[in-house]
Amino acid sequence: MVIATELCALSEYRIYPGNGKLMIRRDGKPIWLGTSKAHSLTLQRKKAAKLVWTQAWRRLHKKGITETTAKKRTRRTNKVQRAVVGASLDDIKKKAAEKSGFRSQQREAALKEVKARKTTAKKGGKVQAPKGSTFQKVPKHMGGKGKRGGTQR
Amino acid sequence: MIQQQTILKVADNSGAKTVKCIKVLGGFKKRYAKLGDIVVVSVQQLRNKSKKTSKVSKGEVFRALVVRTKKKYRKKDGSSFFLQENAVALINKQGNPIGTRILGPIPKILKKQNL
Repeated sequence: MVIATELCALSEYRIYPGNGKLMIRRDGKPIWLGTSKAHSLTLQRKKAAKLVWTQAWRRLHKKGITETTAKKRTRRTNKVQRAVVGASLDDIKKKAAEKSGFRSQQREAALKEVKARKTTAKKGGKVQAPKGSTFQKVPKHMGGKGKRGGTQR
Repeated sequence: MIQQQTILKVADNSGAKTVKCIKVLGGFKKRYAKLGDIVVVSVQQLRNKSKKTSKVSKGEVFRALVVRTKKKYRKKDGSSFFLQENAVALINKQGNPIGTRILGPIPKILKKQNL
């Protein structure tokens, strides 16, 4: 259960229900006071910034803030490469490691092969199977992971 | 905790500045009046400027509703509040206020009653 708490006007401690006093000043402003100590001091018109035990004084003299600011710098999330269903981690790494022109070169070479085959078919009528291809034939509509995305299903 | 002989401030513009409580209404031997109680008061001082325009004169006896007390008023959830002075607003016998405006802060609890 969430309880609505107030903050003491002098010490800035939390006031739980049932504790403290609400002082309504002559101008109508409500001032929450947590303890009789705070009450007595406000009647004496002491300033919170001059009392060493209050949060206002601690803020002025910058006590206890440096720890929280130092911690915030050391946070960094590392990107983790994960394997997808279609390709394992190694495949992904290989593809990522390929040089920029590699795949386009492959595609051009494949295209040339196809053209060559077509011309020979026109001339000789025979379709020559490609001799021991040194490279993996990358079909045109697949691949290009970064550029086209998966269009083949 | 307002009792006989208590000098109270006046929180409306009826012309009176301070009044003295004569009687606490509401019961036999009722000693103290708190927020929202009615007391009988006698006018002690008038606000200087309004000698001619005030609706009351010194020594007149009126009824008054207590609107501000220095004594803590406890609510049912345990919280309490108090104001910085004891003050009243003058009423006539029927319960209607004599002044037309009320000055200063007034707690919400008085809404449940009249005014």
